[in-house]
Amino acid sequence: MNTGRRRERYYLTYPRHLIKEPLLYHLVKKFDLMFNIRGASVSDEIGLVAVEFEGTSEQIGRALEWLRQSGVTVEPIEKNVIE
Amino acid sequence: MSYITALKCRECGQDYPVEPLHVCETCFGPLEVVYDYGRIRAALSHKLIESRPRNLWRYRELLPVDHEPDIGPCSGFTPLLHARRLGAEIGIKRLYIKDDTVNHPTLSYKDRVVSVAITRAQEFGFSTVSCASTGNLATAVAAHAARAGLKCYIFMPEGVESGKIVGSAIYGARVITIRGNYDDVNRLCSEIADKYGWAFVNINLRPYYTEGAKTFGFEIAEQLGWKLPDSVVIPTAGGTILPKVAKAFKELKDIGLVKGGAPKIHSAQAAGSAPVIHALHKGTDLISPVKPNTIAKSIAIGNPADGFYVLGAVRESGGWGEMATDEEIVDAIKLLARTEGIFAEPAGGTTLAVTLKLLAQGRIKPEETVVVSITGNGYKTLEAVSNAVEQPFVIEARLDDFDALFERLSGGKRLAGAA
Repeated sequence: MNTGRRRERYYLTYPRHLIKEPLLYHLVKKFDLMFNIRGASVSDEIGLVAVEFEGTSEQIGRALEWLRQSGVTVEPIEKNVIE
Repeated sequence: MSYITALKCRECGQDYPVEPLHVCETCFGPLEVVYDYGRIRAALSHKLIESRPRNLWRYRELLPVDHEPDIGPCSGFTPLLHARRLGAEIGIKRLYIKDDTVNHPTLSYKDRVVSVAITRAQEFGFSTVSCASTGNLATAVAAHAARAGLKCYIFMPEGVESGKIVGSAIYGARVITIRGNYDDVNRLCSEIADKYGWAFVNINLRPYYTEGAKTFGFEIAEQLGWKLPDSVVIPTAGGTILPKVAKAFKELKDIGLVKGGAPKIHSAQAAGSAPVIHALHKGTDLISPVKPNTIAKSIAIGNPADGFYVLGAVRESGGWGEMATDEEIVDAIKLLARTEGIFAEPAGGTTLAVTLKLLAQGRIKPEETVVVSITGNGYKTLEAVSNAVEQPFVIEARLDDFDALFERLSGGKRLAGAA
């Protein structure tokens, strides 16, 4: 059933100690969420991933919370809009 | 008459129509306004610009609007002050202050970007404008929306000072404070912009909004007699103004209104919120977000939207960047006030403090023409310096009391004629 499914776009910032972790793999297994990576940059200090998630609002919300608790910074693709 | 031809993704180059769009659907890169510079070159001249009213619209061919604007009739064209006393004190002869502490109507550089965004919002037919802000942006949006007759919603994180709320609500804006941290506010505002179809000036109108910052650079060039300085120091928060000033200088050169080399452009951040400077110093393009902790609240943005483009513009210009501690910021605010009679908010203190560091490092030379960008007014942030100024002396309403105090303050000298 697709009712209530939506797409949301985020920037994920990985700190150094998480760069080698397959977090998006775990995310999909855990929350049954579709994702589509649109851009990524990785250095030895930081990883940035631009990603679109597709799922219900609840699924996406739980997934974002899990990412945050794992130590990933999750922000809308607009980044900080409070000026 | 419009000189805009399209929006274009800054990353992958895909073209988009001139609509309220801000992000590339393919790669999520930011969109940038594209102009027909051939037609602008034919239309624009020093003479035409100088014949126009002294506001930011004198450069209107280089701004993303279609019609004759009536928003911000007194915004922009702020003073470029030759700072002789400050220059003598710090050792730069040709030191200039670009003074947006007196930008009209809300006393910060935000009046520039918001004038353009609200004009564009009108042209797109929006009836409601909005933003998320803790200060200068909120007041600018609220004031310009009032003049435009548009409904206005301002979102703020819970816990901002009551003065900030008054500064927006007075214009008739509806202020909504949001429980949660800054990340929550950011996410909610993006969702609201998407769902309600409002004109969020720095979200879905961002390509137009940011173009307004170019006027800061156009004015510097015009006020120096259509010449570019050697160095410009600019504060970095969300990363709007610095790359746009670089773009302004480049546009003026490309259309033949200025000649000569391009200035070094230097970025200034507060040490408690310096993600761009950290990346610059490390030599990386990837900006690690920080949790801001500084008195310079108007530039305390932990993950700047356009930080990457600040790095690019600084490096391309041969400039550099530094950060200033809260103590250095306060000292610089006092220095500027005491020497030039300009009271800057902490962002301005940051910029001047960083100028001093760059001078000490030899990255700015004493013989250069240097412009220090002061983007906001200190009267809005009195709390930042209230404990750093001399406290008042209290006396009774008796002349003897004042005589005694004056003698003490004068180091024991008595005023001639005083009893």
